[in-house]
Amino acid sequence: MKANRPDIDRLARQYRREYNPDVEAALRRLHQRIGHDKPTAPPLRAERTTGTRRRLYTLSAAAAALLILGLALWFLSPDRRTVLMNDNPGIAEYVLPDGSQVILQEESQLAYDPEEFGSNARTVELTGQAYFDVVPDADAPFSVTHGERMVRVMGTAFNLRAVDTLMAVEVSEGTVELLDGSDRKRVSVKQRATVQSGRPMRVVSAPGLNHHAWRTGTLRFDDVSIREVLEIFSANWGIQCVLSGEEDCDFNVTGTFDVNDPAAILSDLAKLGGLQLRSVDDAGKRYTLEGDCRK
Amino acid sequence: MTVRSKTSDQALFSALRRGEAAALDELFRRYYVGLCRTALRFVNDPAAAEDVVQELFVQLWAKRDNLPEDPPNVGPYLRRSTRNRSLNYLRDRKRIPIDDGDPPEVSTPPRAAQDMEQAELQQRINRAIDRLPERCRLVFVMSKVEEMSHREIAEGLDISVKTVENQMTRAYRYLREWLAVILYLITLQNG
Repeated sequence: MKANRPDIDRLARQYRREYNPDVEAALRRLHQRIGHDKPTAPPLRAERTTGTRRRLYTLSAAAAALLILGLALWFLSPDRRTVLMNDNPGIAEYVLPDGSQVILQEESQLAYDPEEFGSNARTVELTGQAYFDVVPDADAPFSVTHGERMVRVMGTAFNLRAVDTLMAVEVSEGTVELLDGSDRKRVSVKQRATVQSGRPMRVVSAPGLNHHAWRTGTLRFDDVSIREVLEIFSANWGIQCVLSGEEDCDFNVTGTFDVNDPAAILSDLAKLGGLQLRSVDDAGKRYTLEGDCRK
Repeated sequence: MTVRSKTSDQALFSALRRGEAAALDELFRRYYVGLCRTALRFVNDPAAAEDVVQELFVQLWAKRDNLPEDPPNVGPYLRRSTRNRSLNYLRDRKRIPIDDGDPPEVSTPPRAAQDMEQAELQQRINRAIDRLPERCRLVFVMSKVEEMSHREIAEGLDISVKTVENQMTRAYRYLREWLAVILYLITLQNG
């Protein structure tokens, strides 16, 4: 079996990623070289006021869009956990103490106990939606919890949405395990698993990795039903769209889309089925699809 | 328990210009690991990589008066600087060869179908890329890991764009073979 270029590129991006120099020791060496007399300045304290935005270019291969990183807040919560928050529009990127990367969607937060994290286990709690790229460490399994549910990770990359009673994970690299009480399922590359109160856990195939679109800016549909498309728009951007009209209206969609404006893409997709997108609120979050459905 | 400030990179940069040592420390903490990884990819030696990045910060402090007034995107600015310093490091030690020999003959015996540990997978990727002839490796890493354009790579290594393209073709040809085993084992593991 031969490897093709995208596969090679994907593996190549891991080159030397395991390298983790000791930052504090290096900082002390720096001070010696500069000839600072005083000891290392302590890390700056967090403040509550919000500040300016900062820009970062993502390394995403798909969209070349400029992503504005929201300013995110670190603070100590009363129970001595560290909480990473993003309450600005845009995404916020963090590096956890083990080198794992987390990208938080707006209005999401991640919490962990920095004293516990990394010794025997790496556990974080998520509310909202985030993308994880986890550094492998067989001695300290990585888990993301929300309420009673958990995703257990074997050193890998995945998108996780955890709100209310729902937990939905879509894997882009490696394998994770979704756990809910005694119910557990393995989820591998290009698969998605959901669990929610009142519904059994299920694993489906996700070849387009479309639940990553809030971060990557790309949607890939290969003969996907419009109903599933609407669900994808809801999961990524909180867009609620109702198919008004005939009950059995359904059509399939194929194509790859760069998503700078989710509503515009949704409108294009609607036209494929002979439908019109109509907005029903001012916030750009609620729509209906109307017209004579071309089945 | 360490807590990081919410201060933006831009604000830190400006503070650095004004001579605030704490700003240097904070920038160091934010960027050191990432920049060391970048440097390591070029110089292939952890001690040398740390040296390159340390020197960068020493100079940042020493020449803080000359920092641009309009703070740039700090991350890319530091990363670009790290790359240039890494290339200088290699040039000074004459470690960028003018032509490339053939890569060593390697036969990677395919392992029996067992789960490949992530750490071992990482090692195999590193080894496969390190096996490339040095200039070929640099071109490939600069393109696919550091995401530089062919033009930037040509300028950095003082070669033509055509040579860059040839080296990329070569790199893919070798890696196609050497990584095929890894990919095969990954599909077994995920299957």
